[in-house]
Amino acid sequence: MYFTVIAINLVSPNGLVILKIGSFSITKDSLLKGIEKSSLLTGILYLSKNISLTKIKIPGNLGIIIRDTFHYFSQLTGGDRIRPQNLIEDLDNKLLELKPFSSSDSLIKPLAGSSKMVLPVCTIVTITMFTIDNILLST
Amino acid sequence: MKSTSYPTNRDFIAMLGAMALFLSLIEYIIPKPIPFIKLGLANLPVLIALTRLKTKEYLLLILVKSIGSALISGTIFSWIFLYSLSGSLVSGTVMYLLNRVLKNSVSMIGISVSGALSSNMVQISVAVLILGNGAKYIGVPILISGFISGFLLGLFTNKFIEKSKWLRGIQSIQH
Repeated sequence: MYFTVIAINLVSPNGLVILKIGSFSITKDSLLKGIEKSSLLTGILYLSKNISLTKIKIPGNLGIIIRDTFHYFSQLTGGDRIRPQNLIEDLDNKLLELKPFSSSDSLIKPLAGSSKMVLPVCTIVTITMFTIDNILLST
Repeated sequence: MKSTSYPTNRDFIAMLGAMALFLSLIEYIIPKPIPFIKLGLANLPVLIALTRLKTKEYLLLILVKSIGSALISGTIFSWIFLYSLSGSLVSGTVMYLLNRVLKNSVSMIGISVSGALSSNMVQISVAVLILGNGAKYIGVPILISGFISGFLLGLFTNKFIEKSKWLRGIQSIQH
């Protein structure tokens, strides 16, 4: 997913051309935007995969709804990919497959070894963001 | 024991909230040729909720959608979040009132366009307040893009409501 998002962003050129492969140009601003989006999305996906597994409880109805929202969101981001030309059907199929939180405390399994992966992933995302902000953007 | 295949209203709000987050994610991935132009895909669940949720639940969904979208775009701790939240709350209220007052005399496309335009007008006002008078010059292109995206989203919502088996399943449970 990380590289797909970067590739999607490279399709619309923006800024200085840093590499030309045939008729395709890789531009600096598009590449930076792609890396920034990919890093942020990776962080968000890990957050949503793990938020319903943590023991943190937000009080009240709003807390339950936020917990359940992330629970359903993590199911929507998993499984089959959405095809843009079939957006309605694919989205509908994903919605039909949603399992409620109450029935699935054990259904949402953490990614294999995800508790061990949280720290490395956070570190990678932080380093990437730091690099973008402090090194690449200053050039 | 309660059957787990029958979602409660709370589940329905959370499902719509998750759908808004998911659509925000899709929209976030798509590169934008012009920065302020948004498709507004995350408003699809808000339009679906118009006739299916009570006022309090509907406002809760708008709040969940705004917080989630801001988390995804990484703007939760910036003034952009306030800018977006104010737009969402006003457009949500306008759409809700239009739907309640005019009922069957206004189509989903009309509601969607009104929501997009009211959201844009609030955002332009907030931008003028924060950035000064210069911000009003971006008003016209924003309103034009709002009209187009509202129209397209209205069409998309109609198609989704017509085709969605998930929504039909939820409706048959709620009635």
